Amino acid sequence: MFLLAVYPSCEGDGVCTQSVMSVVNAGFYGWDGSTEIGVSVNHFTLSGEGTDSLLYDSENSVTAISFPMDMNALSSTMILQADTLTDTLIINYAVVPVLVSYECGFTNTFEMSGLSYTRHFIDSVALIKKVANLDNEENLKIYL
Amino acid sequence: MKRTLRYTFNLLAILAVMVQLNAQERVRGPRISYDLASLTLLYFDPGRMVYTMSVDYELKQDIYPVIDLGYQHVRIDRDKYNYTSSGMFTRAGADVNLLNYDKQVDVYEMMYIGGRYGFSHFNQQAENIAVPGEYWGDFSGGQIEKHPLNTHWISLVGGMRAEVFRNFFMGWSVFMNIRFYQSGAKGMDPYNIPGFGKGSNRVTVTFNYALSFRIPTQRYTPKTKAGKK
Repeated sequence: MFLLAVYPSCEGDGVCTQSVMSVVNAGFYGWDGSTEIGVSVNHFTLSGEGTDSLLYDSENSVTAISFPMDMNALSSTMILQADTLTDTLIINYAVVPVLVSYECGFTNTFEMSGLSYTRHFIDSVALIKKVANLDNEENLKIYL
Repeated sequence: MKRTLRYTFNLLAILAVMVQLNAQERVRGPRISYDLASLTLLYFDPGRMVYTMSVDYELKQDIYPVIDLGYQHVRIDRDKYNYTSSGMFTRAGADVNLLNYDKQVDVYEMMYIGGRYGFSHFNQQAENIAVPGEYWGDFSGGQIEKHPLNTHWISLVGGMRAEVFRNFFMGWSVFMNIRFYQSGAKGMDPYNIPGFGKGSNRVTVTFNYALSFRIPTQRYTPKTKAGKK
């Protein structure tokens, strides 16, 4: 019994309840004079180029978005639409596997190296945290 | 091979006979131990194999410098990855016997505490990493290449040991291990650090159950223990 009490338990066979999908977190921003402020977007949709489903399809105001990227590519093209205006955001990255736990396995983090975008309703995009992983920290600031 | 074994046993028997003691003498010599606790891994953690040997020596009646050497191999096969790790460890330190034998000199039972400095050098890798992707599609075939790691820690030890036959011992010990340095991990904490335990923990508790044989090379009269109250 003593042995059972002190011997370190094995791991790896447990049930995983955690998501292993790394996502990019982005917020919408504008300027009030020289002060940066959060803004919202109405009638917003978001999808990945080459896919046939929407990640976001909202009539209501959207202030921040989270989206996955293609783990089998070195760049992903995201299509953002607000009202009737459409912009394209291209993100370049390296896919780096990181262990979540021995129960859950690995996530693929995205180490972003650069981005480009069109400017119809987007003014600019700032990359503020290069690694997209499982935390909820903001990676991009999208200025409108 | 048989001849070598026979000579070895004969030599040990001769040594045992040579070391005939009088009442105030103790026998000492290098004591070689093998840890049997790792056999429990066959049930608790079948992907992991550990081999640990120790050598200690009775410097004085109460003081036992000791060196542990070991090797560990880990293989974990899951649907979402394959993980392998292997490497060695060593621990060096000393045990102090707490039992008071009064005027009994030729007694070797121990209840002891001790300390160790531990070091492990090992490598790990992961292959066939798969990550589900609901939107863009699943990912498969990822890997984290084989890379070396070093870990340093200290251990506090407590245990008991009894001489079940002349020069043969059995005993158990508990190690509380405190890690203070690790280098080299890429993309994943080690599943298990050889000699230390679970790789994601700074502090671990491990158990040791050892069979030991003392090679009786010397007899001596302890200066400090006889007559101790």
